[in-house]
Amino acid sequence: MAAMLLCPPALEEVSMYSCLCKPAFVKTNMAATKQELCFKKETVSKLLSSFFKEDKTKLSADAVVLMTEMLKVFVTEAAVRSQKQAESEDCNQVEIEHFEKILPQLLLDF
Amino acid sequence: MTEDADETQVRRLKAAVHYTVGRFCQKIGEEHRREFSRQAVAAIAETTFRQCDIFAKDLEAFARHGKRTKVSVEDVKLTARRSAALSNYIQNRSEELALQHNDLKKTTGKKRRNTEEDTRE
Repeated sequence: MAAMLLCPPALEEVSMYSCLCKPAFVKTNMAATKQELCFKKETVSKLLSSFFKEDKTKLSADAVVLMTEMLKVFVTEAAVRSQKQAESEDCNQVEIEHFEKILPQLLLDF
Repeated sequence: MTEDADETQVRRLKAAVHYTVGRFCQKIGEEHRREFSRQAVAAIAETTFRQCDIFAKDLEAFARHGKRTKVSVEDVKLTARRSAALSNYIQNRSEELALQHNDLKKTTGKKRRNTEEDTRE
């Protein structure tokens, strides 16, 4: 219930998954610029594999693709929420304090 | 020696994450005309790196629960269960991937049939 205190309902509806709430925007962006930013599949695969406790555990190719998407959403959410926090505090630069403020809700959402 | 190798592997992975996170922050900073401080970028990168640890442990646990050694798409969908929006997004992406696979199968199937017909003729 701490999550509700941190993020009032009105804000929650608007800010939650800002990048996902506008799927049309994402699609047109993808069509317009072919240089879409994303993590390299190889990096994600190595990264996740390094954290597995057992050597036997492997990742399917589709799982890697989906995890790449998840990480992209995670980083985008972190950055956009930090930027919105900076905007609400009338700051010209996004500082670590802004990220710290949105971090608890971000971790609860993921 | 193997410990050093592990450490360099970890450092390389962190550097790769930091680079990509930096590019994301740069792009979002340009869109909203607000630069990200170096500390903020480093913090986001470190958090992403640590979040991967959590994702990986979850994925491994789900796969083991399903008595599998290979992490599947279903395991990834479970990791995205905390939010409806995220869950739907991952569901849509997985369906797109499945469609792409089906299209590939159809086109390779057609090509094989065409070549077979050509050889018969």
